[in-house]
Amino acid sequence: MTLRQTQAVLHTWSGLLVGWALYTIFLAGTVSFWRDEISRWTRPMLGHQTDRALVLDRAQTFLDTNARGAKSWTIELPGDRGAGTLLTWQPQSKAGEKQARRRRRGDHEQWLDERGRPVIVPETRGGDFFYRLHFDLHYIPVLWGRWFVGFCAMMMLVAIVSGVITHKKIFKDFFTFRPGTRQRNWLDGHNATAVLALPFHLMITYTGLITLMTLYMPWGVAANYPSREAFYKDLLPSPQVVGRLEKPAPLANLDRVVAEAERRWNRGHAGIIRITEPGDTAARIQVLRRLSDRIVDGGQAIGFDGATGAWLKGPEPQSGGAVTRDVMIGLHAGRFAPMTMRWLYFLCSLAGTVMVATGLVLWGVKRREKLANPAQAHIGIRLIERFNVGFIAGLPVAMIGFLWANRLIDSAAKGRADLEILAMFLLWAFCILVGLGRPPRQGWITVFALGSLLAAGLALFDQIATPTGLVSSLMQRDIAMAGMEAGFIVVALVFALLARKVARHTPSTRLPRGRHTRMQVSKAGIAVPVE
Amino acid sequence: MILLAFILGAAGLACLGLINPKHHDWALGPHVQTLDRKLLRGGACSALAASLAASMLGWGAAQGSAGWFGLLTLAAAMLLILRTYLSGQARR
Repeated sequence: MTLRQTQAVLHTWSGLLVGWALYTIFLAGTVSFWRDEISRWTRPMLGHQTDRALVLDRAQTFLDTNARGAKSWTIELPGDRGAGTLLTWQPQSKAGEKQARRRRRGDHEQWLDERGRPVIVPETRGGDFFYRLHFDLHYIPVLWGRWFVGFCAMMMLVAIVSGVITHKKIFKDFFTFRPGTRQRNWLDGHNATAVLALPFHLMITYTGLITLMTLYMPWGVAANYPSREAFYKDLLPSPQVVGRLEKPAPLANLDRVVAEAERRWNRGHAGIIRITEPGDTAARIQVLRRLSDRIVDGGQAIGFDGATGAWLKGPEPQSGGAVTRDVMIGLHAGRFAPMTMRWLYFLCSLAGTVMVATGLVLWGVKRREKLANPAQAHIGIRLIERFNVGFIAGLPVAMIGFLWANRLIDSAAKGRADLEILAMFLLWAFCILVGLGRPPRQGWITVFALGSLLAAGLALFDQIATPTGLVSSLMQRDIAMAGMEAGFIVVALVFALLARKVARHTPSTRLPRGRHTRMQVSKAGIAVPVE
Repeated sequence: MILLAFILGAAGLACLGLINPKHHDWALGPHVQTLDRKLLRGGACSALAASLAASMLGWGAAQGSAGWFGLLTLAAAMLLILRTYLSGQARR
């Protein structure tokens, strides 16, 4: 076996074994580049352009009234693309109660709209769900999910490197795409999406592994720190803990404190404000920088005295190693990316998703073509072809289902956020069953047609039943929400075109080299020998 | 500046593509004398370097160098689509 042949085997199996998981990870990651926009769409009542000074003033008043004497307050300000300010507070722990007890979702939190008015927001994970699905998966313990995603990322890295060696002609055949020529079109599609965005694929896979490097390679931390807590304390400094002195003192004006922090960052923006022991002379304020400010994905905390508003410490200089790691995380998450670059991130990531999908389809196409009678493929090929329908076409359809659930489930329903997620997984399971139960050709058409209907229906529903439809968003000059609605229409059109393309597709009856039997197209759409 | 970076990137990649005889013949006709490969390579390198500079001027050094790869991907995708569908390859 030559090097190229061994790499071909490695490429095929490293890609195929984790192909569906990789596709899920890639698609969820791709969608997550619009995390803030999706979150805004799922919580339309929060408005958009936040008046920071007004919001901070009202947040301070709200917390002072409703969470006086709490252990801590946290104010999460929206970024340029986000909406709504989230206030959370932790009450003083009672004697004997464990500090680390996790608060239940929804307890001690309040959303404020763009003008700082308290708003009741239906429980939803919004865009954060897709973001967490990307590296935590769902319905399995987070740690297992992250290990599995790390394994898939490693397989992806192997597939990329072995793929470059295997398809040695990809650089020679640059700018070549030959649609309509049997497996060539799948191969060219796979190669084109792989090669055109190769720097992105390498970067995103490698930096993806770096984001969780202390999980996958914990020995560096173990050798230098007595515990993981000590490591995180060093990596992410938290405000200096000062015991409550029980001497009441009003909290300093938060807007002025934030303005001072922004001056010290040299035109940075505040993202999160944490206040410990508010209302006491021992109060401390920690202001964390917005992650989208810089390519370095680090909070750059600045500490202030809560009662006087005087600067205490920060931002602390970071070590070279920490900055390198944070740059890699920043490159992976793309939080810093302005709108043009965000589109490039999205398109390259979409190319990666298409690369995985075409690779999965190509596997079946190649194997069928090598058979004496392609209509009688063995169970392995048939199963993979049918599962491909449910995974490749089914996942984006299920994601649209998640958004439908956000619109249809009663806003006061108990466990609403979990119901939205359940709806998505049920729809995905349905698509997988459709794929398994029908011949692949009919399966693709059915699932694509369903996706097209759901996406078009969502845009129509929003136009009729909500104030966030395409026309009203355009009239309000809300480009992000208009983009979301236009995106649904584009997705509907793409799915409709794909369904039409599959329905009209006539498989080639040309014989592979060395075969002399005449071929015809069967009813199932497969080339079979003439009897 | 970003648009300029994109155009320069596309020009650089087009020069690289023309080095391939198959693409050269399609773009300029089979009877046109083959352009000097060294000249094309030099032109490609200059255009790509200028594209990187424009990208870094537009987005700043750190973000511009990362975004430049994205611009090149987009430029290459555009060339590939033009090459495929202008030549009628899709119909064959």
